[in-house]
Formats: sequence, structure tokens, C-alpha cells
Amino acid sequence: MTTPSRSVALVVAAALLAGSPLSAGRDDRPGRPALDYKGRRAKNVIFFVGDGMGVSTITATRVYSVGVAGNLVVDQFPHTALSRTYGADAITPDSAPTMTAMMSGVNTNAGVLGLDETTEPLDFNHDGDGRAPWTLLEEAKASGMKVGVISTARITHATPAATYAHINNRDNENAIALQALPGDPTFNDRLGDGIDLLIGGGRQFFVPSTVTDEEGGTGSRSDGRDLRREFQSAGYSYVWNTAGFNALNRASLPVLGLFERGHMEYEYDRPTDSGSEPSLTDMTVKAIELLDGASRKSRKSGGYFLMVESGRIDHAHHEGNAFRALTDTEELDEAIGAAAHMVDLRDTLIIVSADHSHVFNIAGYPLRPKSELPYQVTSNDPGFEAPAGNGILDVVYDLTSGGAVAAAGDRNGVPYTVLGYLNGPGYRGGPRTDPRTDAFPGRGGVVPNGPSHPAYFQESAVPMGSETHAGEEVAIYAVGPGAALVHGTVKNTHIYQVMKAALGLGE
Amino acid sequence: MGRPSFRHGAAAVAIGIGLAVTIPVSPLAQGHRRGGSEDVPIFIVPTRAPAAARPASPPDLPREALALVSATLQLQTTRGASGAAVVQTVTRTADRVHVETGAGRELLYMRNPTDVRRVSAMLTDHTARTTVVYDESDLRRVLGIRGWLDVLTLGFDPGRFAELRPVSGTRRAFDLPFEHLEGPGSADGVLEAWWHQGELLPLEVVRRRPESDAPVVVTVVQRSLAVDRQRLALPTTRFPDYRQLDFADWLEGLHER
Repeated sequence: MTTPSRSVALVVAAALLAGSPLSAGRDDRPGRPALDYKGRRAKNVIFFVGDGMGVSTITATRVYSVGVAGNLVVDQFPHTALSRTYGADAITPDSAPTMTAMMSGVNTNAGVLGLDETTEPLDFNHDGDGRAPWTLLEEAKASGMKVGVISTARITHATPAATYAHINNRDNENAIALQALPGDPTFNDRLGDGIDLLIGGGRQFFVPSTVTDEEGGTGSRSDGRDLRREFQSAGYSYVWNTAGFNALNRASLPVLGLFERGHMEYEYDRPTDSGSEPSLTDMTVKAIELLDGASRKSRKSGGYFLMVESGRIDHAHHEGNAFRALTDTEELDEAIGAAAHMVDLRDTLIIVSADHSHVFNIAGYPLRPKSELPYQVTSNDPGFEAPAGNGILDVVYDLTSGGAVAAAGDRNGVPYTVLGYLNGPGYRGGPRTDPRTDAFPGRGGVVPNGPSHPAYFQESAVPMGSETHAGEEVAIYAVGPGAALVHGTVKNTHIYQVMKAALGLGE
Repeated sequence: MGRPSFRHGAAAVAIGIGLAVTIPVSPLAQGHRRGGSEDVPIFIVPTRAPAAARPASPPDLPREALALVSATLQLQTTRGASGAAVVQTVTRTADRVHVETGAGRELLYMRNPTDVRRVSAMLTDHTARTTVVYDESDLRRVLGIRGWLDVLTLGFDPGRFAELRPVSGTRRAFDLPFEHLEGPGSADGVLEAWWHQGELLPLEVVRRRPESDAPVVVTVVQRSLAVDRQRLALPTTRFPDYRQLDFADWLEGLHER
């Protein structure tokens, strides 16, 4: 439950920030809630973001993971909505404006983080940046809550950075890292004594370019600063591998965890990591333990806000590799399930959404696996005896006349896969061949032994080095106090308003 | 490499939902103040099948790898009997390998200083004035490079040579004897090789990929002990004005955002 002192604390914090670089001439206090919400208040909010997790990705993951009639954890959420993702300047957005919208309630331009729509990327009109709206994380922190940010991408990447940074160029991650460092001249003062828990990848932006990090990687900071040490000087516990991560406890807060030089590994590849790194579920569970414990111990007992991003679903799609997109989405679902089991859903709002979709399709009229069919078939292709991934990672098997099952063909009779991309690296360039014997080299030059192989490129229609985002709506799932506000077709800024109303921030 | 059926998982979900009538009790939830009789949904985390076999750890290095003689190699790749030859310059030392890939690009592979089995790389694209960083798993996924050994041996797996049988007679080149190996074909399509274990150097390899009828012949046509150290410096030092991106971001950046 929210505390009566929360709104007072916000006003005091806003007054103290009047002189900070960030707030000068801009929003020096957060706005009032836009939603009129009279229901039970949330004490805590956990916001899960699947980067690039469009509806087709969720559907495909469901079939792969639990079968077409099974239920993922998100399928069990009682409240859902569709979220429109367009940016202020784009029909199809990147992660910077969409996460800004979800975290600040303000729609902005491609590449811009935490600044409004009058801000061009890199200020190309040289007219200065627009205002910097408060993020939900900043408001939560200013109200006395504990706050945490988790990502399997770099922790300074667009999605996590939109929770705590304000900058007109998402790629300037050296600067973004400094905005999270207490005591730095560019520190985002709205964060008070700093983000309580910041864990993910992206060590390079905390390490000088002349220094080798714990796993043998090189840093990317040209200013020679070692932010690992500076965060420690600011009171942070710093960990970089599973051993350090496992040793974290409530007394460890605030925590900086950087488990990879760049992005963390895909879930499928994670066991091969040199330093070993925790899974998204591991990080989520640990974060809840630490933040919940600390918020109870706090005199203010203000609850916590936690953002958890599965950042590499997006990367797998860009690579044209459905396998890793599905396995990372499955891991996100595991993390959501772990969170849902840990918290009291009467005082914790959990929201799940995505920043944008991808041009990723489920095609044809594939039959369900043979064992699930409500009728006998007279004969079938041997591959249909156990279709890969419950049928989703295989070719399309369809019913022919007389109750027989065969691989469905294109207009030349050549089979095709259930999953595919409109564009991307999976363009074959020549006459199509049966995907089950297709010698088109997949990832690593490996010739996959079929479309379920981890190296397989799903076919694409347009030859591009990298597959692209898509502009249709994405889903929102919600449970807990305030979740009933999630319904209908809404702009993604609605997510910010729901979280804010549920917490009673700014009232 | 499909996963087995998840029907047992789906069934567990269905049964779980049917039985779910009470508020979940977890260590954290137990500590919370309860709010009367308000219903809260029960979440069933589905039982999922074990993950597919994961990638293997990088191969161990033979002792020769740690004391390798630095050299500059001219590598010629010919596809098919009448195929055009592509020549690349490879600068190889015990901890760095530089490859001029042509088309205005060069690659620098770096042995991991902490775990010598591992490798990362930087691709410099002079046209785009960009340096792309490939970490270990990027290299494994994108280029099929399992570790530092694969880089040292010019992309060939010495373990696969063991699947071929030694043939009498050696071939001398660069004052070194190269063992002759051949066979019906290793798992990665190598049909014939001349190999020097001490230098971890293939002189010539004939390989036929399953996707192609034409064999590919890779030959080291020159070897010089002179090494251009400049090439082995970090691209971030050589080209400090170039933009630096991780591989995943490079892919995303191929489009105008």
C-alpha cells in the first residue's frame, strides 16, 4: 500500500532538485496522474519488457514451449490490452521513444531517451533539447521507494536507460552510464542517492578503453574513468559473475552488476559464458528479494519499483534466428512466473509488455501435432510424427484429400516453414528448396539439419542484412492493484499512467 | 534438433488451473499482510521440456599454440576447378590474428587474456568508418569460430584432421615438412590436408561442403616471418574517429532508425 507521505516526499524532492542540470528550465516536478483511479493502491510495481516481443513472438513461444493449447504464465494474466507503439516521428519505432513513452508517458522521436518530442536525435536542428519528463522510476525513488533495473542487454542500452537517463542520442552510452553515477556532475539528481539495483550487461561503458576487464574484454570509455570503482566509492556493491551475484544479500544494496562486456548471452548460449552469468529468472528473483527486503527495512516502507527487460529477443529477430527469439521469450516467461509466485499480488502490480514488434510471421495452415488431432489420419509424412517445437519450428504440415498429411508446398510444390520473416538475412536468393534439406548456411556457416536447428535462418522475402521492427500493436498483460486499468487499445504511454495511478504517485 | 512434446507440461497447466483455488504461498508472499478475501489469480509456471543441447565450451589449446612463431601468410582460396582465387593477407601471432578481408574491411582477432581458449574480434569497415565488436558468442554464432584455436588454424579444426588417414610422403614449404592426410571426408567436409602440427599450420586443405559440388581449396602460398605490428594494434587506437558498435547494435543500425 502506498504511504501517505509519498506525495509530500515528492514535493520535497522536487524542490531540492531545482538546481540540478537535468531539471533546470524543464520539468522540476512530476505531473499529476492522468487516470482517475480509486481502487486498491499498489505498494510495488514490477514492469517486464520483452524487447521486440510482438504478439506473433508470444504465440510462437507458446506453441514451442507448452503447445498451442497450453498456457504461458502471461496467458494467465487477467487483464490485457493492445498497445500502439508509434513514435512522435515514426510509424515503426525503435526502443528509445517507446520505452520513454512507457516510462514517462511522453511520446518522443527515434533515438531519443527521456526527452520530449521537441527533441531531435543529436539535436540536428541545433535548437536545444526539449523538456525532460520524470520517469516512473524517478518518481518512485523520489517518493521513498526502492528502485531496480535489470536487463539482459547492456544496462545503458535504450530500454533500461529510458528508466533513468535523459539524452538525445541513445548511442552515447558512456554519458548514459554517468547519469546513473551518484556524485558525478552529470548524475541525474532525480535518482536521489541512486538506483538501488542496476544489473545486466554493458561493462564496457564502465571500464576505460585501456583496461582489460574481468573476463578479458576491453572497455570503451575514452575518458579513462573506471566507473566500477567510482560506483563502489559511491557505496555500491559491484559484482560481475555468478559467484558474486549469488553472494548478494539485502545488506549489499545498492548493487551494480555487470555480467558481460556487451550484451549478456542469449539464454541458449548462456552456459558457455566465461565468467558465468545469471539467468533472467535468477536476476529477477534476486532483485525482488533484495528490494522487497530493503523496502520493508526502510522506515518509510515505501515499496519498490523494478523494471526487468529481456533485451535479446529483439537481437535474435534482427539476426533472423527464430530459435533464440523463442528461447529468450520462454526465459522471460519463466522470470515472470517466478515473480508472480514471490510477491503478494494484492499489493504488487505486475505489467508485461513490449516496446515494438518484428516482421515475424506464423504462416500457412499447419496442423497440430498428430497426437493432438481430434481424428485419425490415413497416412502422413514421417516428419509429422514428431514435428519440431510442437510444430512451430518445422515445415507446414497440412491435411490433403483423403485424410493424409503432407508437407504443404508453395506454388511449385516446395515445402515452407511455419515461421518466417518479411525481411532479413534469411533471404535465399535462388529457387526455393525444401527447408528440411536446405543447405543454405545458417549462423556460423553451419548447414542446419532442418528449421529447428539453433543456427537456422528462417526464410525472408526481402534481402536485408538485418531483419526489422514492425509497427503493429503489442500486448500488455497486467495483474495486481490497478491492473483493471489495462484494457482496450491504448497508446503505450498508458502503461506509465497505469503504474503511476496504481502507486498513487503525484497525488 | 527439435524438442520433445510438451504435452505433459500443457496437461500440468490444465490440472493446475483446475485445482487453483487458493492464494499462492511463497516465502515472500507469506510475509505480506493479507487483504481479506479478495481473490488473486494463481499462476502456474508450466513444465517445460529440457533445453536443446547447448554449445560446447571452446576447445583447449595445444601447447604449441602458446609459443607460436609470428608470421605473415598469404592465403589463397579457390572455389572449383575454374573458380576465381581470392587472396588474403593473414598476420598471425600467438595472441592476435589480423585478416585483410578485402572490400575495405579488416578483422582483428584477439586471444582472451584471461582465458586463452577464448577469442573476440573487431571488424573494421573503412567505408562505413565503423568498428564492429564481436564477442565470443557472436563469433561462434556468426562465423562458427569456437575459440582461439580455430582462429590460429585459419578456420580449420585440427580435430577433424584426425579423422583423415596419414598418407606417406610429406610436402616441404617454407622450410617446413607438412604431413599429408586424406580420407573419405571429415565431418566438416575436409577431404585432404597438408598439416604441420608444430606450427599449427595447414599448408593446403581441400574441402567440399554439402551445399556445393565444387571443392574449395585453401592454400598458404607465402609465409614470411616479417610482421607488420601496426596491423595488430586495436582498431580503436588506429582509427580513433571511427564509430564503435557491438555486433548486435550494428545489425540494428543497418537500418535508419
